[in-house]
Amino acid sequence: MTSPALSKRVKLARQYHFVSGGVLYVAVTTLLMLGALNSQNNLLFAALGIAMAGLVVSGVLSGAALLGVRVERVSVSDAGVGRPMTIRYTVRNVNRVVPAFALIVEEVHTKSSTWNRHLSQPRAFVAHVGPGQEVECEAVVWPSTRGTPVFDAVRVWSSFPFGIAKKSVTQRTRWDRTVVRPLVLPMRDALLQRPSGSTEAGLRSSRRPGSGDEFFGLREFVPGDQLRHIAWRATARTGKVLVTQSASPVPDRLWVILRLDASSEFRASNERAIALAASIASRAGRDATMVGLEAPLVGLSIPPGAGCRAVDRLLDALGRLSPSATVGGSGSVVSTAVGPRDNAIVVHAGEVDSAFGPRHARHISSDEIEQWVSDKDTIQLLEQLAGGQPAATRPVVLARRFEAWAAALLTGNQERVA
Amino acid sequence: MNQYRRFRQVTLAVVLLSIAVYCVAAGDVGLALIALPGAAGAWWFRTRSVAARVPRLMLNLALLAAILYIAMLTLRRGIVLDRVAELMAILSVIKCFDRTSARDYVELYILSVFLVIATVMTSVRLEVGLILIVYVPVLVVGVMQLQIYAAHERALIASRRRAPPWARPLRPKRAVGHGVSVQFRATATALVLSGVTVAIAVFVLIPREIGENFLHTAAGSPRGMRTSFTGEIQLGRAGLLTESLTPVLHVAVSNDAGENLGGPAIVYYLRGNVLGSYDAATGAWTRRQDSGPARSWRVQADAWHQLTGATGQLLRQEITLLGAGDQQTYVFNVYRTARIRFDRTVILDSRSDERIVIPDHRGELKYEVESFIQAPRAEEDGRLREVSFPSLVVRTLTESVLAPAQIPTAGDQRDRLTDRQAVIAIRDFLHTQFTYTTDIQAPPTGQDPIEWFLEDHREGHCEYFASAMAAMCRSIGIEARIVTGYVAMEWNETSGQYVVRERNAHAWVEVRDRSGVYRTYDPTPPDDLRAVHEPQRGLRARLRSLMDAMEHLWVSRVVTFDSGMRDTLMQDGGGFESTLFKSARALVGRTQLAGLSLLVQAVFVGTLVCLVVIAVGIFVRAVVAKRARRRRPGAGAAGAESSPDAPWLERTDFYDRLLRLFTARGCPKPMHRPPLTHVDLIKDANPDLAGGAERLVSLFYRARFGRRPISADEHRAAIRLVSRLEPGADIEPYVREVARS
Repeated sequence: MTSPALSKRVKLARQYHFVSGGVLYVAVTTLLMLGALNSQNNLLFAALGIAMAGLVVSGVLSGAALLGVRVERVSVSDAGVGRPMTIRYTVRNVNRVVPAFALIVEEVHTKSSTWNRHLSQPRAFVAHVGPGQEVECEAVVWPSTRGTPVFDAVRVWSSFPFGIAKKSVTQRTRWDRTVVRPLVLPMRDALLQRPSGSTEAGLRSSRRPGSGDEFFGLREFVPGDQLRHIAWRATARTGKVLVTQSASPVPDRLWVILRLDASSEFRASNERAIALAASIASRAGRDATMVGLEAPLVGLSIPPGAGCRAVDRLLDALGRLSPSATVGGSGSVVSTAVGPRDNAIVVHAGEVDSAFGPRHARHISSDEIEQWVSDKDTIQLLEQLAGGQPAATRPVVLARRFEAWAAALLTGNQERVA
Repeated sequence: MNQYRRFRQVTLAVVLLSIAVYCVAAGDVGLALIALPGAAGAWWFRTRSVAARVPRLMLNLALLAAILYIAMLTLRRGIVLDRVAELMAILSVIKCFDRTSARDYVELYILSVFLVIATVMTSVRLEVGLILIVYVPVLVVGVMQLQIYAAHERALIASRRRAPPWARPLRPKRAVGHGVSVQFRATATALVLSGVTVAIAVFVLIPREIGENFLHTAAGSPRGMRTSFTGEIQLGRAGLLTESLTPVLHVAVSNDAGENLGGPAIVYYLRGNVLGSYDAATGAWTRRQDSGPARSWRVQADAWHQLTGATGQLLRQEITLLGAGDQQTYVFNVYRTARIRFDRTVILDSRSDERIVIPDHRGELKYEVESFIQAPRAEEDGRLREVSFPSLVVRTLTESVLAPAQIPTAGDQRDRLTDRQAVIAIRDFLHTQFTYTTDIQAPPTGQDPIEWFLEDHREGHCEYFASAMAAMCRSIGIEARIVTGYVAMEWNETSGQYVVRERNAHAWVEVRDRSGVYRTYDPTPPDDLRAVHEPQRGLRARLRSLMDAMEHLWVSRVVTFDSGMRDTLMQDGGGFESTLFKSARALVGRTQLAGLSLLVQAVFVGTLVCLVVIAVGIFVRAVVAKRARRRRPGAGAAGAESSPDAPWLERTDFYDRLLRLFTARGCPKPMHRPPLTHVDLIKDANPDLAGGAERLVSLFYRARFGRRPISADEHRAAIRLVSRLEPGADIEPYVREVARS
């Protein structure tokens, strides 16, 4: 998702950075000078000349090449935790003579940008841009936390030609924002089964005719109706040819209700709860269940919808959700939209409070998330994430790595993730 | 991208060249035979497949073993730069087996550069210079490619950071512009040219003779060509005289009018050491301890130092010494030195025997000697000494030699003339009765080598002949001594100088007459002498002669470059004297600061050089770009094939012109955008341009994708149309023409 350009500014900030290669180069040059002066060896003087020439021509060339480079962020793809995100750039060389080689385009963290909270520094590589040419490049990053990263400025740098110094030009570019959706884990089938004891939940009839099994009503026969649909008794009773009409099938409705806690102590629990909610929603969407979301603490209520778009909308909302942005009150009031026949799962951040939410709702604590992760579906998910191909590593090993990775993400341990 | 594929090959070339340059400098054939194929084989092994990589543990063990081996050698023989260089060569080979990350490549390049620096510190040979001339551009290209490789790797690493463990490695799109190979070559060429120009400027301008030996000889002195000449003679050792053709001296001889006195038929004896003391037990000739008080002078660089006040016909000898012994440098000269000038400040040691040495000096040296031909060798002390040779065998033999000519053997019965006759008789006797050989056999244990040579073996080389003559002269009371040095016989027409090689080392005799003057005699049979020292003929000899001339140029212009030469270059400029230089010097003169002179000149010349470099760079780039355009007709931004492989793309140059026109009209076509899409996009802003462009692009598409060649008529029409695509121009007839054709 890319927001419209809020401001388009091209401000160049040129910088030189010392790198270990440059320090080594200067040290070797100094040693060469000392050696040459001490020994008066003319070949060493020649080597010294070459070393100093390297400094001069490197500085001139790289500076000239970088000053002519302009970068523009073209697009930022949708993203989710554990899924790759692609940022595309257009790199243009306005210089008429000097080509630019070995450019690295990377995002810069500024006061107005927030991407660094959610993902590692995106970096794109440009092997070459000729004078007056324009190329496209892309950076791939793996977000580690959900949220709404904001991109503001990019830096293009290069250590070409000799790696003596790293030269960079920073540009403020278009202001872009996207949503990183929460981590979606494969859930067990049992999670979505109707809670025991609930008799009404799920028994909904449609108010529109369709091709379902349930009876909707009778209507007059029209050419094209199948003979087996004729209601003979009613026809005999009324003297008109009537046919039986079925109600349209209506999918189950599932409300995912999030009970979050605004205090900072529950930050990790909140995140686990949000991940669990996202996983439930995704799993339910895959089963053609209509899923809705309710988060009373932040005043969020999304009515149940069917299809991928509805799930995406829900995941986007979960990605944007900020537990600290409370709407006031205790946040314990659940929307009246949750009907008695709707399925409801209340995901609690921390301990379960059975009094929260509808009477017939299932209650799950965020601490139970590991119990609900499907072993069977994990491998399938891995393969799906690997691009639909069989995973390169053995499934058991992969599953273990996956568990460790997911645990690290869920506990907010960024070092382990990295 | 071709540069990626070539990067590994260039890196291998860098490694091989650095190892080769060290092996050539050190003369280490064994290391060359092991390291060069080893590095190439390791490279092949590593790039063959990922599975073929050597485990890290094995590599670390190999590294450890190499370090231990060098440490052991260092402990045994002391810290020598050669050991460090050898270690780096071995490490380079081991690193060739290692992984192929950018960091590993960087380490390889660092090792290579350090190895070359170590080589340069230990050798100034022409071969080293020639390899370096190849090495530097290859290194520049390799390092440039390394930066691209490393940047790509950094981006890849960033794209895998925080990736789930199961994720397949994603390869982000690699952005490459059009004409990368041509532009890379042009950039590399410009860098090398400008770098070399700046390097030459730095080389010329950097002040010399500042801080010389302030670190003492920590790094050692450079190793030039090793001389076969030694300060002493040791008879009685088995072996073979050197046949080495390695040059050790370049000698130019001229008179005071500057006329060259050298030539193919003229031979000069270059006097080095004087040996007057013989030990029969060891067969060693050494310098006499009573050869007068030692005298020492400090001679400033480029300043004449007067040694004697003789007058006569002047003989100027310009001598370039390419290498010297381990302890001290002998100053070779043809005649008695009147005055001498060195290219650097030196300490001279001399005694009355006129042997001149520079203690504690190794490496190349350039000096001029002025001698006077009429002036004989100086007397040592003006008195005649009682001399004898304590060998009955030698005495008896000498008597038998002199008896036929009725020359008395008793000294008091001879005068100056008969002394000379006796010496000549002895010399002739040795010329005719003995055989010259380079195959040296050891005398029986306990026997005096001279007696063994004269009585039994009757074969030997110049040292035996000179020793025998000196002994025979001494046995009849004539004072004689041995002189060692070189015979300058190989005349190089190209350089106008004599080339003296290791094999030209020689020994002869100086005999003192009754007036106290030492005169030179050579007892070695002249035919044999000529056969041994005469330059070889044939193609190889000619090639060697050419190499010698190059070596002379290398040594005289590069290795021995000094502040005097720089001043000559800056002031007389080798024909580069210009008003600009005069202005610069006038500016310096006004400042009245002598110390500022060099700085101002350096800044001035540096600026000039930079301007020249920029001009050369622009020119080279323009030429390369033009050549590239010529080579690739029709290869526009769409990335079309070149004409030899794609004949249907001939006559598509109108498309290039169209692309340039897009740029000129402020709507350049991005690389990623198809031409027709671009035309659609610019239709609103440039309707006139878009109308004609659409037709031209369709024509290009037909050739590019339909592979239908463009006819001459179509091409003509397209060119006419593209040249008429100007704002407000009526292009309709031309569009119709293109459509018709």
